[in-house]
Amino acid sequence: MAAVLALALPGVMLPGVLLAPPAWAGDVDHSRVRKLVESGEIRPLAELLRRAQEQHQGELLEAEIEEEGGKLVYEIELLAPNGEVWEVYFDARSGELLKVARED
Amino acid sequence: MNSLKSRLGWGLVAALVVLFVLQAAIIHVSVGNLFRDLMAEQLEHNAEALLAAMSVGPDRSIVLLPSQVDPVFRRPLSGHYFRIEVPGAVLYSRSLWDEDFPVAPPGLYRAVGPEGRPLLIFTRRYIARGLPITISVTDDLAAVARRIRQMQVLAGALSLSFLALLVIVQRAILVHALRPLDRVHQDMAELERGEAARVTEEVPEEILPLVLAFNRLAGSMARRVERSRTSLGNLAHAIKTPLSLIRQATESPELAAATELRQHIEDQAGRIGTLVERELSRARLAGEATPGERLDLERELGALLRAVQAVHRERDIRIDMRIPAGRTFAIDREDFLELFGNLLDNACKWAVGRVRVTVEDGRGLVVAVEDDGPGCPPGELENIARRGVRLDEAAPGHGLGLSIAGDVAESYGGGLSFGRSPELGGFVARVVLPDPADRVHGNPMRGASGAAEAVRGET
Repeated sequence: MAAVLALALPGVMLPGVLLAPPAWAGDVDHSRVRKLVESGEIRPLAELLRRAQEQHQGELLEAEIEEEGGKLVYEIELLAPNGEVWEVYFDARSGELLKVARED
Repeated sequence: MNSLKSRLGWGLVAALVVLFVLQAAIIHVSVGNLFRDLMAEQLEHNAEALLAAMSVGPDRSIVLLPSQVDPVFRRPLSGHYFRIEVPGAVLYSRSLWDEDFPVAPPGLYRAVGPEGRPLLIFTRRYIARGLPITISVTDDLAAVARRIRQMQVLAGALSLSFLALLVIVQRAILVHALRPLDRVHQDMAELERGEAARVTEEVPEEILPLVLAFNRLAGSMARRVERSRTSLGNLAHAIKTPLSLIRQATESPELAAATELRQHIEDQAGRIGTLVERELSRARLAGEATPGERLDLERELGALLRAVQAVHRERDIRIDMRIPAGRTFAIDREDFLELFGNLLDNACKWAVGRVRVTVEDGRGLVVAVEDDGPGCPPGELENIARRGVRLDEAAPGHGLGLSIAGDVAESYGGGLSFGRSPELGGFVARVVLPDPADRVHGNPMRGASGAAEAVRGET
């Protein structure tokens, strides 16, 4: 079934949907994310979100997992109270904090 | 709480508070219901849109037409989630990410979703394309709850300020409505001071019966006192004639030999005469019980002076009057004439040529009656004062007048004192009557009990 969903969903992430960033080739689909969390391969979003919010105050704006050179990188975008958008990167498997940056 | 004002006031406040609490509760519930109904409608609409946008592949996989899915279902943990189930497959909204929300039976339910946030879950079963399809859609309750709370706080604050305003207005109405009672109270005080004969009957109909009853009572009391005075006067007249017959009888020659017996009968007859006089004067002293009017002192004393002068016409006595203009005093007219008639008569009896009546300024009534007669040696003053109590020792027609005057003064809570006039050189009697407002209440029988003691003292 995963294959079916993977097939079906790239369509959902058309550039036409404004709130969603374009889905790049490296993006991990959310139904795959669910499976990866269920199998314990990556950290759950709730945990990483809490740690991201320790790094920088803000509301969750968007979350993505990208595959970069065999590594799964969790990108959490936070909307700070002053309107700035911050990005916090984690290693999705180990939960290691990789980078905190303001979005350019 | 024995005040109409506070009873009504608190009653109305309590009613208002109950009303406002009820209203606040209704607003609270209906605002909550309104929001829930609106959200339910929106959720149902979302579910139907998803049903329209979905299709099921030949391998029973669920496919959604992306352009017809609301973007809020894409943003992770947005609170807007869906879950579509067909036999053998489940499709979650992207917003749910790696989380899930509780499974609920068809209908509308509250539950706790990801991040511990409250969710409203709408679930419905459909049958489409030959398959049973269950769609659950959620909305974030936290944001709505915040808005509902804001509305409720606003409504509550408005209600409270209205309540405060109503309480203030209600107080003002109450004070205004009960003002006639204050006037009745004032009138009663005036009646007591003798400045008015009755309480105003221009009052609200609720208290009119009370005022009418009070006025009737005041009137009947005045009439009753009047009646008992009349009957006592009649009794005095009735007794006086047989008494003088008895006195005449003692002159009869048959008794000439029995000197002792005659003396005895004369003494007792004299005593009866004194007692009758005294009780008559006492009866007139019921004055305080009647709602009297205020007497114009200048006019009344003037009339009295003329009357006394007429009695002592054969002697050339000049009577001066010193009275502050327009001075009035609340005293029964008969009592007044009794008191000053006796004092003036006494003064005229002893005066060589001058008598002076002075009404002093100040609270209450202070009057000095002076003459230029021989006066009274200091040692005797005490005796005269005492004679007010021991009537039987009083010289005939003399001490009795002062004694009666003393009784009248006493019945008004005042007193009589005697001395030597510094200017005229003769006798001075000084009457002091307190203002009715300063008078001690609840002792109208003082004069009467004094009489009883005096009578006992003689036997």
